[in-house]
Amino acid sequence: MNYPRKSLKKILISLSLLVLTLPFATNALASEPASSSKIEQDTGAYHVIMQTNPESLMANQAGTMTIIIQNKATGQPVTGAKVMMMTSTMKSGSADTGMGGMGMSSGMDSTQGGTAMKEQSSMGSMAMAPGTYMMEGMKFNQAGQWNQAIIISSPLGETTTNFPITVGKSGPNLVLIGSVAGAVVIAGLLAAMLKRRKSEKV
Amino acid sequence: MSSKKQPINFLNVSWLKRFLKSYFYPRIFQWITVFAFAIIMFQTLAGPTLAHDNFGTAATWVLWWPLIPFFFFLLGRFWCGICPFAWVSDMTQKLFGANLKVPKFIRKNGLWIIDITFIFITWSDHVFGIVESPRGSGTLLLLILAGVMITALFFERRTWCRYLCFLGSLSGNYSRAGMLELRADKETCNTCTTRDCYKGNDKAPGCPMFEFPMAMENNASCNLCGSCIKSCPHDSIRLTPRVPTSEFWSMTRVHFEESFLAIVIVGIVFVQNITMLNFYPAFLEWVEQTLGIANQDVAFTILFLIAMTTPVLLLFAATAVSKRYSGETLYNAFARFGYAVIPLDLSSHMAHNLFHLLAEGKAVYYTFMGLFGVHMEGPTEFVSDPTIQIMQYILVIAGTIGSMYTAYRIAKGNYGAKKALSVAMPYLVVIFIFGVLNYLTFVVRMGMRM
Repeated sequence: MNYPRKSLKKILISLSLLVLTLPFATNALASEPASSSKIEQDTGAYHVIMQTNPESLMANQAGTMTIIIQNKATGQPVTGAKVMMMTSTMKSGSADTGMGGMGMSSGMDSTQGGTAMKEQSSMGSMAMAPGTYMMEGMKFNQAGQWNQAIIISSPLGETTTNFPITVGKSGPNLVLIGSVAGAVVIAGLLAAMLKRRKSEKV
Repeated sequence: MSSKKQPINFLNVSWLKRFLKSYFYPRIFQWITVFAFAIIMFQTLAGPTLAHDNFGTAATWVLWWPLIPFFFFLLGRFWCGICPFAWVSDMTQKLFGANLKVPKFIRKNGLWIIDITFIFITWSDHVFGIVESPRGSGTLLLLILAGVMITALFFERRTWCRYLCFLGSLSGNYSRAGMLELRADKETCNTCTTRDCYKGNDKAPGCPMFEFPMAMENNASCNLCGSCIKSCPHDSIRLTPRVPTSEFWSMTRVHFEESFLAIVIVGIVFVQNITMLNFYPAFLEWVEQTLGIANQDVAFTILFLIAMTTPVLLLFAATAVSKRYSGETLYNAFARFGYAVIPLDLSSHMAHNLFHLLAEGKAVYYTFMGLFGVHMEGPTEFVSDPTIQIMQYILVIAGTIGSMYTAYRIAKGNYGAKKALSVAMPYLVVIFIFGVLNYLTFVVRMGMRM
């Protein structure tokens, strides 16, 4: 009767690997909403790529937004542009609510017309692509769907573009912690049964 | 009277022996690691989500992980003796454990389970994010904790540490190249009838790692917990320094799984190095375009599989050539010479993580201050990049030479001085290739973790 036992072992190993994969997968999926990892948009004369770091922004935790601006017609980077980040608004159903829930902790120049994003040629030791603009230390005070308006002005013209940003809750993944704790408790109950059976035999 | 010079025995140092026999060893170290681990767990699971701000991430991946190979080299598996998970295992077992015998399946296949888990975790790190994501690190730690507790609930001694811990297996391999060994005096043990070191007595429990010191001929499973030093009524245990890598020269028992892990680590370290280089994103994009794959994770998985299998295939190729001179079977010769790459594994691991330790080390202090609400920013490096690079080169060169010499000594020990060079030559070529590839990855600057 070797065959069924071997199959069972294979199934158990495969299942264990699957179970091992799931927590990481759920962790990764839960923290990587597609809308805020990398978004590309054509607006006016520009092709704009937006990225955030971390990819999944969390409420009340500082993040960085990077915008790469290219000339839509030629694909060339647009340098020396004035890029203003406007006050973000939170999406409520289909209509945006004018709620200024995003703040900057990096001491950028802030005016009523928004906050200027800094053009970057390098970040630490890493060379940045030309036409890269950055805003560090941005914070959202609430989890949910936000809208971020950006105004770009350069000799190519002025245009406004909007990016959706998903802000997640920054707390622990209680489902994961609870599931693991549950598995340990079940194992504990099983172990207690086995222990009792063992002592009864003795 | 024998004129043979006795090796140095650190247990002849009276204060050290007293300390190792005392109640406080290894507890005093364990209390510290358990306390640190509790903070790390809390931080990675519930602290800041940005690695840059998270003390758990900094303490784990910038401090502990870079330091750990140095520990293995200098002190064998001492870390495993003071590991917080081992403490959790002991406590769980003491309070709730059923103390069942370890199933044969685990005893027989534990190393393969570890091999697979290790490869899987490395892959997961790149696909799901573990090192750069505090929550990913927390998930990994939580899963290990669950694994430790579940095994401790069912099985006797430290089953997890001995048969299932992937870090334990890595440390087992690395510490075999190390400078310290604990062994028993066989002449004294031959007269022993109680076997207290294995069974335990009122002074200390039996070896938690299922080892019988008298029969122990390698460092793979000894975690220097000190139980046998405490329990041996005949003072048979010796703690002696030795020449690094010397353990491999005269091995009588070899295991294919251990060799396999050693050679897989060559690929893992290579993947870790490559993916942290600045040109990697562009390279991955090129791979995606060349292969017509729209998914970055699939492209990485293909590269990962190539990186894992290439060293294994190269070592098999070397074995196929070498066995014409050695007359060994492919399986046995692979198992025997796979150990030779361990010094290179160890030195590459040290070299890779030396960058994180020395170029980002201050982040540990900054994030630690963050625990008290003090926000600190500033340069994170202790020494300049060129200095780190020189240290990395030295380490990789030393590791390559160490591995080549080990391969030669294995050949000499098993096939005699006459045949040694011809048997070892294919391995020397392959190890040299691994060494050069590793060296090249340190020529380019690596990316930061924090």
